[in-house]
Amino acid sequence: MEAQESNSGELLRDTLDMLILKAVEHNARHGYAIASLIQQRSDSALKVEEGALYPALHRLEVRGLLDSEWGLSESKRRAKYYRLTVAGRKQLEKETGRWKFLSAAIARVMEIA
Amino acid sequence: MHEMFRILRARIKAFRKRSELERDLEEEIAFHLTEKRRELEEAGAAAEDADVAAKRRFGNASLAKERSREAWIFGSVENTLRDGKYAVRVLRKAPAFSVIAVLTLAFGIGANTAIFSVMQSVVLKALPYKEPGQLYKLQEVAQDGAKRFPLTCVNAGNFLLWTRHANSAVDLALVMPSMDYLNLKDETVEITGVRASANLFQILGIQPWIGHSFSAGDDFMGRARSVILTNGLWKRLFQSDPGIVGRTIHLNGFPFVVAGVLPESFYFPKQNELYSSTIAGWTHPIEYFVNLALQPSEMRPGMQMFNFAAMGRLRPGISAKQAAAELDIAEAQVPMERLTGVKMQVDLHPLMAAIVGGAERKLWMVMAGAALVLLLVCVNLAGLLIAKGAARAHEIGVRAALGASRMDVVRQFLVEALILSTAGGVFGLAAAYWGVRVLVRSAPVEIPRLQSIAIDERVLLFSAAITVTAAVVFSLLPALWLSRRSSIGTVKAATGPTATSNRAISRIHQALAAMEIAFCTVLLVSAILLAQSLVRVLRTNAWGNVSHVLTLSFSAPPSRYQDGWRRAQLITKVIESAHNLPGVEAAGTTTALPFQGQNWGNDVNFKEAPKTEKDRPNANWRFVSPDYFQAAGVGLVSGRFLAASDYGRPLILISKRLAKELPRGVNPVGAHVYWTPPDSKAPVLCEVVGVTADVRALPEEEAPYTVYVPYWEWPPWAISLVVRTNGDVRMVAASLPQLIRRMDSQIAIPHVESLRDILNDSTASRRFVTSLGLLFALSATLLAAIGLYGLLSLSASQRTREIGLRMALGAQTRQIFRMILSEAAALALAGLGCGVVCAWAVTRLLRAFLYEVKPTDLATFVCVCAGLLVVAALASYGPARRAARVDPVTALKWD
Repeated sequence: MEAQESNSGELLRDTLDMLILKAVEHNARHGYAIASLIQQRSDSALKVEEGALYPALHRLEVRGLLDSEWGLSESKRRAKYYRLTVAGRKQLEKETGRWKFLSAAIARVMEIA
Repeated sequence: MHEMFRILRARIKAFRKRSELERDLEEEIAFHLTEKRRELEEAGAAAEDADVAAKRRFGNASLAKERSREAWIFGSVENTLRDGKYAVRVLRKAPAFSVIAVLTLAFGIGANTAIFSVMQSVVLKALPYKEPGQLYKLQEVAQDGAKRFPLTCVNAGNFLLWTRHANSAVDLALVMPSMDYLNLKDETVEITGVRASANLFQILGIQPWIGHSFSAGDDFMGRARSVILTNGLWKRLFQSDPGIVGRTIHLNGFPFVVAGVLPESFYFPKQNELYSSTIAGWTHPIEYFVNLALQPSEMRPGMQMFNFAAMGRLRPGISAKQAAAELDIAEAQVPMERLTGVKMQVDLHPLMAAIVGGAERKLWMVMAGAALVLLLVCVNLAGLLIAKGAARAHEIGVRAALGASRMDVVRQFLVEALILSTAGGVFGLAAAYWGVRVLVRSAPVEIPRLQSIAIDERVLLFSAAITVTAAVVFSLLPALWLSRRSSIGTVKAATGPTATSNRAISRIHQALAAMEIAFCTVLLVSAILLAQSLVRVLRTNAWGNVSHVLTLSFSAPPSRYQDGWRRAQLITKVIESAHNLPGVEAAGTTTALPFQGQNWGNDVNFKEAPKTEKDRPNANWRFVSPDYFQAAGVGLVSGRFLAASDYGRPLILISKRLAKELPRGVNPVGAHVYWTPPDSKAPVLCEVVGVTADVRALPEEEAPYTVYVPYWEWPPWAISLVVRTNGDVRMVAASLPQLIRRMDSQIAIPHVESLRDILNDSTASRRFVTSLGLLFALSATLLAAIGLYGLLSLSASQRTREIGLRMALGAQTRQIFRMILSEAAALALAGLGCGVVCAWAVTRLLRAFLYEVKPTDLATFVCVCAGLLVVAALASYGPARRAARVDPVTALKWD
């Protein structure tokens, strides 16, 4: 039972990483903006659990896929902005490709069914 | 790879700037909460509600921080340190468990480490020579004539044929053991050395440390005699004199020039390892090398004087098979004279295998026993941990509720286990250090290369590895099992263990306890089979009250006893004065003592039943004085013993087994045997006056054919005085050496041994394996008893309520008692069942080590089962009594 739980957690974590990379693809953004963006773009279908967001951001930063910098937000407050690194961009391309392949495959299966 | 490097760099940076990182994280999350609140307020919520909502939406902020931090820093290291502190606290709270765990682990790890260090230096470490894999020991083997030529040494003349013909395939060196007297200024000492061909050191790839090796001409007689000393001898008897090279020392009264001293690290096999062990056991370390100086009589190729040992180094690119083929061509030129049908061959054995030989299998067996004990220690601890874990279910539940993942709980268990096993490992290593010394001292001399044993880095690595492995083995099952429960329902677990989960735990626990009993059965059966073999070996050989018989062996100094009659005179005098000692019942001499191996093999030809040379039995020839038989306790089968009045007459005795070689109808008493003394060509016809009982040359081998020739026929150099005492052994033992010294102050006096000592020495390796086996088996029994006791105590305490209820409903104390005992009995029987099946399979592997006992000896199996049932009953008595004493009122109030 526990094994299933932790498996689904792993899946979520990978997906979340991919979504975060996508969110900062063109612009540097702070954590709150990333969460909001994912929620908006998915029409609130995907809610990023904030408790999981920051660990994910830091993990990606440690892995060298994101770079961070302190800057001023629209509300003129100090905020930490995350930006894609070269390695991050490569990773995003890889993930995007894989995702397209997978979702297309799943879609085909589901249509036949 | 690239990414790993990046991560490492980031982590190191983060580790240095930890406080900065912490502040940033704090600020980042605060910013997030502010933004959220702002958004909620803009949507029209009240300030207070917005704050609460924002926080609720965010979830567990400290967990998020924790996880973010873990991404950065060496989270695992920090957590492990924290787990470590926590674990030490937990272990301190359960001192009894911790002490048992550390002690049993120390025993298991210590035993394995000690035995591994023996394995490492005896079996695993290469010989300390240049390219040792290329070195071989060579033997001459008679095909179709093994009865006549059972010995497997080398004739020097045949060896010279090899060097002439097979030189392109293999470099060959020849050695011949010799025991010599070293005459120092004011004393004479007997030392053991080797005559060696000049190229021996070159073949081994060893240079003398100071001085030089022999030159090729030294291999033949007529050259100056020279000697090379080992470092040990040089230090011991020459006070590390740096000017020793070129000086003259006296061996057996003859001058030898010291050519060199060998390096300290030099190793050379002992004589019993150079030859096969069936030849008289020379077990002294080799301390010097003299040049070979072959005599013309030794250089004659043929089918006699197989007295030398040969080793060779294969030339590059030559296989052992090719070399053997070349050598066989050379061997075909050996003159066979009248020996038709016998074909001689040269066998090559890797030198390492030839030296280590039988010791390897014994050591592997002991190692397997030790490994089984460590496994049992682990199973035992796993059981105890589960028992403890059941009581810790509450704690684990709370930890899970506070956000500990299954991994965290498993890690916590692993850390606790590692702390325990490391402590055990440290104690174990200390014990092994001490144990190795005991092992070396008590280990049989037949185990080669023992001197080089040390706890080196490979041994340390090994014990570190088994320490970690043991920790994982004994903690993983409990950890996985108990952490699984934490996910069943944290709240449920937190309120206390439930009946169902208890039952599941105790089922695993029961399986572990049964497994312990099964292991224990295997070890006990093996150990008892070995012990029975030892008892039988000793019983077969302990004829004639061996503890009352004293022996003392020496050889007549060659410089002064070249004349045979002088040696005869010496022997006569020695016997006479020994006989006159108070407390001596009989005194005699022989050339080879019982249990010290075969010696002086030669063919026997009866006048009444002559045979072709090939078919004659090969007997051990002993040169004895008339009273030897009474002194040693050798029985008489028929005829009579020799008497002093027979002096000068060619009369002999033969052993019972040899007498059976005579055709039916020929009375052995009165038969005649041809005998050729070593220094003459004419055979003497000797009359058999008696047939003796068979005496074994080695405790576990069939007695050899034996011929007893009176010493006056050919006075031997090697003299073993055998004295039967009336029981007051000590007085006689003290006066014997003085007696010899009074005869001749030039004779070096070795110490006095009883025949019992010699028998014990010759059974030392069996004794060694058996006593370790028994030690392992008994400790295994103790462990299994602890395991069973722990299980039953736990199960009785968990069932306190049930027991109270039963008693309240009218159950008798005796019934409760019986209930707990029957649980124990069921476990023990299940374990025994498994154990007997495993033992049945395992003891087959022991077959080679058993003596007159079948591997499936029924009595042994029955005794072990009965014994273990008794142990199980004893282990369960305490818990059962406690359960039976439960007061129903308190038991029912307990929850």
